[in-house]
Amino acid sequence: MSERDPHGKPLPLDVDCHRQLADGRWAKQLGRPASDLFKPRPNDHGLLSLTDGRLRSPEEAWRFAKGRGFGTKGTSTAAAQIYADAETPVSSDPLTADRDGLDDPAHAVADFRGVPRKKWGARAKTLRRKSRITFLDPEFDPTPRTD
Amino acid sequence: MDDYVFGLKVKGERWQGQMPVALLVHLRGLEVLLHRHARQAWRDELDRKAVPKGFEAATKRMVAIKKSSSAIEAAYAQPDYAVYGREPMDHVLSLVISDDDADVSPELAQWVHEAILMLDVDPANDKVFVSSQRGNDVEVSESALRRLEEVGAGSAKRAERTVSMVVRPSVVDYEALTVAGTIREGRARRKFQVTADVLREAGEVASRNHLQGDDLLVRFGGVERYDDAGAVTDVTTVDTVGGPGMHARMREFEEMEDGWLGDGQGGAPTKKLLQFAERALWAMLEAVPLDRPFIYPTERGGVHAEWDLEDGTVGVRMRLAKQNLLFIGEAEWDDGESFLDETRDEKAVVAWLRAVTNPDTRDEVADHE
Repeated sequence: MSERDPHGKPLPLDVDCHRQLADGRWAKQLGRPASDLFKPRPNDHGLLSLTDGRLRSPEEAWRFAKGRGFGTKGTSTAAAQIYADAETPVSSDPLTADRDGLDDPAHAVADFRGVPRKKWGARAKTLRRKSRITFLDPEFDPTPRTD
Repeated sequence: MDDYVFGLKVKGERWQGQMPVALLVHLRGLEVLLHRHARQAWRDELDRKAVPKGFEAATKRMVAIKKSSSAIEAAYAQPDYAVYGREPMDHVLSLVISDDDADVSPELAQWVHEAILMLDVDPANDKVFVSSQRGNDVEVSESALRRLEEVGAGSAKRAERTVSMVVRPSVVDYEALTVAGTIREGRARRKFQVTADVLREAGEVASRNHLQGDDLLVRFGGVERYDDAGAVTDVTTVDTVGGPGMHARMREFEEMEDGWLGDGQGGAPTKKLLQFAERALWAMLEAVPLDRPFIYPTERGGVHAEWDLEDGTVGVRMRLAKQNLLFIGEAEWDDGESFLDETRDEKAVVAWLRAVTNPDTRDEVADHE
């Protein structure tokens, strides 16, 4: 995704926003996701991808992401107010296949660009702590190896 | 299960699921106490200038627990006891219970009172009774317990902290002195009785090699030096270290490959980074009363340790640069944040961790930008 502004309007603060718990080493350790899942990665240009909770439930958001081939293990959910309090306001950002390469009318983003990069890690920790975590992949084993 | 360097073996029936590990310290306390008073009794009460050869070993055996027998009863059965006769030992026991100069830690008093032993003296019959709460013999007198509690406060004031360490306790057998240490060097084991020197050595070993393991760990929070008893040292605080296993988690990361985050992103941590980071984390745990952290790889090939607090989160990121471990700290809580800029100074990391994990001090390091 190239650097750009969100395509839609700010979400009302009482709307739930869903974030997918990506595969890899971040989704798990005894069921606790890494806070790094809650901050944009370098290619995201300061925008954290979310799902507009008015359009999809946590499970629907997870199924949608799975259907797109994302190795997500579950969904975290927090109100847009939580993101706003962290100075990472959420706007709707519907994607279209023509413009963005994929179609997702429920796509939304939390904008981290107003927060100094040094603080992204701490804000991500707050977002993780205040989110409701739902693991939905029945094959997901959050127990760490102990051998 | 061969991934730790120091373990404590707790020996004796009472320890088998009966005695909390936290009480280890008090058994040492009892040894120290009795040894000190035995020496004093020998010198002062019997008017002799020096204790005889073998005195040290014999008095240490006074606190031996043999199978299910009680500590000081067992001492009477020791052959060496005959060397000294009953008089000083009885005097010692009377000092423990009633003498104004007796010096007993509050922990020991509590231990005697609540958990393990009951002591009493019957002056008329010149008998000492000791029993565990699981035993039957004699209840300790209230006056004796009051005395133990009163004098305890004094000894605590004369303590100084010298060492801390984290160990993993393991199981139990019958043998004298109840506590023995095993330091594992590669595949070889060395066994010790745990004396003050051994505790100190264990602390040094722990600091040098850093402890690894995934079972319950115990943090020995301090070693006291009693200034009136010939540099007798003793561990004084003990707490458990919870949290997920660190070593196994680090081993998971050894198998990672570059690009693990997808789209070509995500550097794999090197074995050296994982080794350095694990050692650094153990050093933090020895110095700061935290559980083991949750650990994740970072996209830059480092590792990220996270601790959940009651109202916040603390994280330390580590990466390797030119063979040096570099740290970044990030903390957040309900009404504040704190950051530690990248540093290679482990002491600075520990100081920051101490500050941000303590609600009374974290505002001093809070970010105000």
